[in-house]
Amino acid sequence: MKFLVGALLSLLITGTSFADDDTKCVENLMKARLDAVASVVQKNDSSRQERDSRVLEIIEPVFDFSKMAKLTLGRKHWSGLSKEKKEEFSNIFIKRLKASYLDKLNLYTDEKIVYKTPVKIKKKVHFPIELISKDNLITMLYKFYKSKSGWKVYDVEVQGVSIILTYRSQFDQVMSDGNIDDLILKLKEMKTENTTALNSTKNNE
Amino acid sequence: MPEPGRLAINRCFRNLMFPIRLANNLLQLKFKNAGIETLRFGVNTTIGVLGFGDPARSYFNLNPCKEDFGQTLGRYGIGGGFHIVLPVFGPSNLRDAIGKVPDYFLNPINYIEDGYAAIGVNAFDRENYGSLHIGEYEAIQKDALDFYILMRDSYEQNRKMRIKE
Repeated sequence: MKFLVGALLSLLITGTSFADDDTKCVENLMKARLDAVASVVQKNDSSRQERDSRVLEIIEPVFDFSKMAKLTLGRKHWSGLSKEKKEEFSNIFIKRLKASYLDKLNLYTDEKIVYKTPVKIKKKVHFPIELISKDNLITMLYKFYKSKSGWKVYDVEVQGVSIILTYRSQFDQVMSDGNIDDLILKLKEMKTENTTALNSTKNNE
Repeated sequence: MPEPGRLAINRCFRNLMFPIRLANNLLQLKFKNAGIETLRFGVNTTIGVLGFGDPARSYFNLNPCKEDFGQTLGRYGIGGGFHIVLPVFGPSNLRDAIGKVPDYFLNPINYIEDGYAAIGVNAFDRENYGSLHIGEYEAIQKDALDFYILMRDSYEQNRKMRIKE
């Protein structure tokens, strides 16, 4: 009996410490990255282009953009695509996603980043953070899964709104009205609009 | 008007809406949050001079606990129903639109006797609030493949989170 209790206890302890390891791992990984991004953005000593490439260098190792591309189409649409179409879609989508992310950094000013405690949910780790400004509080949630090369972000929620889910329902609409070529075309059209917008803000600076 | 002034006006209006938050926190049995809201109202109305300042947040670290009747209904298991876009208010759904009715009666501004004055004050609040969020609409639109779906989904997901917390 004593042995059984001991065995159960040790199982419990090692079990929780595994979970702890995962959350700790994600916490350390992400804290360092986000602090680095914040300091690059706050310094504001480089050109927009330079800043963007530095930010991408920091986040690319922890963001699984290909996974995100796959998730936004969902199994329903993704699995039916040829290899070429998958690649074509992923490329254009990832470009857009990065542009959109970098664009959002312009909105960042003096917000304080507050890291909450990451939680393990099944095989995923959710890392909530808060951006606190003088008059506002924005909650964000970074969602991680364990890939072959370590913990990676596969979705980000801002104020409870998941980037993957909102893209997915829009893509689903386009896909049910047409096909992957329509979607790719639409994404391409957006891309040009976006870059001109980026250029125009650059000129204003 | 420079931004700090507009922010102060917005804080004052939000402070006035205290009855909505208090009642809905109580209806959801969130007594701690109801207490926080009451403390916030007390501190901000006095030390914060009619709510123009927010010392409750900056000195006592008391953050607002925003609740409305739509969230209260959601808390008790009522689904959103169909999505609608209301004039002036923007994206909403059946549940939240119905929830605006009790909240209307909890909003002190609507008790201003002169009906036109009440409308004027409300319009001023919306205008001021809007001035603090210029550019957000454009930023969202730039990201949209289908703007309606994006707004609808964002609204519903955001409400779901607010009801859950």
